[in-house]
Amino acid sequence: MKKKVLITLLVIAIVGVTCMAFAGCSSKIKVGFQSGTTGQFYTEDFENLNPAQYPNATLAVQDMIAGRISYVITDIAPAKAIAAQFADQVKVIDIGLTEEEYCFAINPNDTKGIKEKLNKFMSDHKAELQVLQNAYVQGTNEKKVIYSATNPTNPLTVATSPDFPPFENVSGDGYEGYDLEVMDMFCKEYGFDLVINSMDFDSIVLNVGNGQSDVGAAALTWSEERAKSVTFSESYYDATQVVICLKSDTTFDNCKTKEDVEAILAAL
Amino acid sequence: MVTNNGYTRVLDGFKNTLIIAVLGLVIGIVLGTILAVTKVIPQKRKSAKVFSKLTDIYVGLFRGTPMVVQLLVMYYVIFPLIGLGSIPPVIVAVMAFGMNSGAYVCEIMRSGILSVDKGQMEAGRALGMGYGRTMLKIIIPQAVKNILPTLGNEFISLVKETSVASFITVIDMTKAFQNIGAANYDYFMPYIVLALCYLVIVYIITLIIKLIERRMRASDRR
Repeated sequence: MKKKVLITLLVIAIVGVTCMAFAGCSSKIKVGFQSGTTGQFYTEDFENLNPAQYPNATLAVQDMIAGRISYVITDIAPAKAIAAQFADQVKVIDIGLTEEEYCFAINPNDTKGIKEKLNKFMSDHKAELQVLQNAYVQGTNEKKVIYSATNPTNPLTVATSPDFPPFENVSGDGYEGYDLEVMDMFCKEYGFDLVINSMDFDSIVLNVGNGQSDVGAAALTWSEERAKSVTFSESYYDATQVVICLKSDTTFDNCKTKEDVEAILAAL
Repeated sequence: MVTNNGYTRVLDGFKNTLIIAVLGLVIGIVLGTILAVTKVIPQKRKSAKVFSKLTDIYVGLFRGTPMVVQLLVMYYVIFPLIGLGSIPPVIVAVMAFGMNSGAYVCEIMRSGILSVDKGQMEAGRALGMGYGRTMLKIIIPQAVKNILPTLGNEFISLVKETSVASFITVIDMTKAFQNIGAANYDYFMPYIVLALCYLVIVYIITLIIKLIERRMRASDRR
């Protein structure tokens, strides 16, 4: 008799868990983003959307092409770089949804005076950096391959997440991208040896905040939350979030302004 | 990606994977053996009881939490807290994997020690050897022979588990291939080659374990 009760309970438990598993698959529209980015915070503000986290935006776009998610929200520069690779399948809705600024993150216990030096460097070379930046964003320049120093005497450790072209990605046995080229120029001018610490994007603020790296150069958007754990340099790029969708998708075709896009996103 | 010396990235990742797995296993075996002995030692003295209880807590702690959580806690909480935040992440990973493996090896080793006949200990003591000497020279060698297949299992799972080391900024083999995929906007080849790499590594380990096993069974009369 006791055995029967036990078996019944077991069956109920298994059925219950199975039901829970299926209940988890909601019918909400799925929107992908890179975990820890502004795209995540932006997407999660829409309660009608089902957020899907990815280690980077390229994987999200590939999953969209495979049909698992409907849209990807990410920063405009990488969105265009990625969309250029999958030009037959996806397009970028070129309407900025947010206003944000990329800054370099600096270790709060900055004993090497990096903040002042970096800000001075950025204002000294403002025009030169702007030209370089435009070339990177438009993808027109010969990208310089940057190497991490092997025997640093005066190291400047830079945390980055090399999966965010054109700002940073790997190239052969080195790295390339705007952020890293700026860091390379900065190090040469101030006599530092550039040491690149490569990691996941969500680890960077924590890593720099803990002092495990001196600088975070990863197209980091200034935010109040992040500013609590790291110091930020002056901004160097005005970014915005955009929607990437399938080429065949006409949902956003008639949008003119940010409000149009957001109205559609909220009603999906 | 093979152009431009891209393969060195994979080799670096492979090196880290191997460092973590091998050193982790060495720490695990040493730690696990010590812990196992504290569990099987006769519980007469009070100190023996205390050590046995501490081992229980240790094993409970490391078997009761996921490996990733242990890595994160070690790297982001414990090490900065005790002022060792500047230690390279690979070393932290080695220690975390070693301590985790120690908990599992402790139980494996305990089963090995218990499987050795009680008469062996009695014989050793009757010959005038101390408890520790008998344990080290007579019991543990026999125990290791018995548990070798299980230890092999532990090593294989350790190698595969290192793929989560990228959580604490270590560039292991998995992360290296991920970066390559991100740079080429294509994950198909990198992930398939990654899986093959792990398969080959585990196959080589299996061969090595088989070789050691055969060597140890050489004295068996069967």
